Amino acid sequence: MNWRGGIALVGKTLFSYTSSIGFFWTLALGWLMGPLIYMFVWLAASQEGPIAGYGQSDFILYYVGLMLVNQLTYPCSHWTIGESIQSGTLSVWLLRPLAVLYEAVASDVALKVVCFPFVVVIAAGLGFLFHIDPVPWSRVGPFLVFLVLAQIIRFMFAYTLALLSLWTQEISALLKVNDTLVFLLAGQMVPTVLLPGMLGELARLLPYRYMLGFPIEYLTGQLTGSEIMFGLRMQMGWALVSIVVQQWVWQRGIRHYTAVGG
Amino acid sequence: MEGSIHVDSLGKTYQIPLREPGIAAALASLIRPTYAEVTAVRDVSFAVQSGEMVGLLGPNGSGKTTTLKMLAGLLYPTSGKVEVAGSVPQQRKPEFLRSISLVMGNKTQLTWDNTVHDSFLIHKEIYGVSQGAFRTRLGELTEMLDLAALLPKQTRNLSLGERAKCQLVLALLHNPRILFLDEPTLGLDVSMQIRFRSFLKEYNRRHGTTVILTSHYMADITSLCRRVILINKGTVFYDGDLSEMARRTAPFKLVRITNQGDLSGPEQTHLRELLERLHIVEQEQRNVTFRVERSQVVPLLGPLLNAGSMADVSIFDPPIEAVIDTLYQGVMA
Repeated sequence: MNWRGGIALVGKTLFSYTSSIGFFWTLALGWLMGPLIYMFVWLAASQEGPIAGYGQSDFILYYVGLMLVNQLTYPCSHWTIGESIQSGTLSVWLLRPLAVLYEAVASDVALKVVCFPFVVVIAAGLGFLFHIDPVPWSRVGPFLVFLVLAQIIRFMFAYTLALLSLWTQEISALLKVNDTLVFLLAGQMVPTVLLPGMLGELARLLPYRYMLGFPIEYLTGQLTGSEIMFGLRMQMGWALVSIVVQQWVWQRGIRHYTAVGG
Repeated sequence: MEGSIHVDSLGKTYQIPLREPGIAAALASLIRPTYAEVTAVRDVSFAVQSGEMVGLLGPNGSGKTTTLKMLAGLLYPTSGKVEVAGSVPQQRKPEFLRSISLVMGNKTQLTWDNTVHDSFLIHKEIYGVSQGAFRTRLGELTEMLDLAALLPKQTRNLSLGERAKCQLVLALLHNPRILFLDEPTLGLDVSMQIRFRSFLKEYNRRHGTTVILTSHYMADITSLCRRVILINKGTVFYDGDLSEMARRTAPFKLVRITNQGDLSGPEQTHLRELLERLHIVEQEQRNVTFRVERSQVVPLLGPLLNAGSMADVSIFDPPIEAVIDTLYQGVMA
């Protein structure tokens, strides 16, 4: 582990991003729009009474939580990694005594540092506006564990898909499909516990719920003890799978790198 | 050992997608894509000793940059063996990456939005350079390349030449034992090229860094490299002394005379008769350039001076560009 180099990379990206902070806050505002719209849709839908146990205050808490968790788990670097492979910029990263993964992690960490204060202010404003009750402190510790696992799964899946650029020339469509699956099955459009029948079962088994929805469901107190344990096991399993698959893809893919340009 | 390079039967083959023009072919390629194998490097072998400066030459598409990228660990060879600074490059071990630098004329490792000094500091951290060593090296390099005024500037605000200088300093901050330079003077003006060359020569003298250089500017090669390796179609067809290559490829000198009077005049008959027996390269008014075998230059001078009324005589080697071109034409024919 090259911590010194990794921290320097985060610093470098942070300096770079802070020089365009307006752009990144606009980007963050765009990411907030989806959860905000779905929150109002579900508030309208639940006017007559709770839906599958979700009342209006639950939807507010869920979607405000989603704004924060989505911001903290959303990886952006996979778009640039794919482009770097295709343009040959990856060569610059390959020459450093530092795994290429550091560049992607540094980029995502810096993005979160730059955007998070903006998102926190908006989320706090909404919390104040809708009189959200504070979450019990006892939930914070496990939530942070679930959040880290969610970050690992979401980052590794997107990063691994981006690495497929080592074989093929264009992967942006695949990345968009992945984002769509996250949108449908991770709990953005609808909390996964509200998904009906087979779709709900599929969401419980696929990795997407564990990238986003599961930590929020826990934070909002919607899960029983056995559901929490099931979710934790699924998160750990998917995190392990995503790391192993990423390593496998990298080891094989890098042999196909053509270092175009120059 | 620490700055040496050993390459044995190195080969690299790419698989590239092929497609006929038109929409039908585009759709067909979705179902049944076709590929062609392109051999960029076929069978390259050479060894470079620690501290040597070697020019890697070849026409476009000859395989020299692919070879350089394999030496730097960017590409996996399809066949053969490479050992650089005691390591196998494609394994990309941190100790190997700390011992080399690759400067690509068309790619920068400087961070676009950061100042030059910040880019250097980030490099220091990534390579684990101590504060003392960093300060000493930066001081030396800044002085040698007159860089102090550029340190607080953002990379995006530098000119091409300034960026090239900073890029070179960045590549040397971790004191690599081996420096790969791929077209380092690409796009630079003549005076910047000259400064670059004198810097590299001095740096190599001071630190004994092994340098492998590719360049299409022959002045880079002639001023820096005594030894050249010529590659074409992925194979080495010359490896040795640059001046010996010139002697073998062009075993003649060029003689240029400037006569005082018009060569068509009746008093120039002797000179005209003499010139008729020579291989004239260029003739315009009172100036004539011809090639003469090296051993025949001195015996020719007496009769030449007596034959006409000379204003000036110059004897020189053929330009290296012409020598290389002769070689390329020969091997490509």
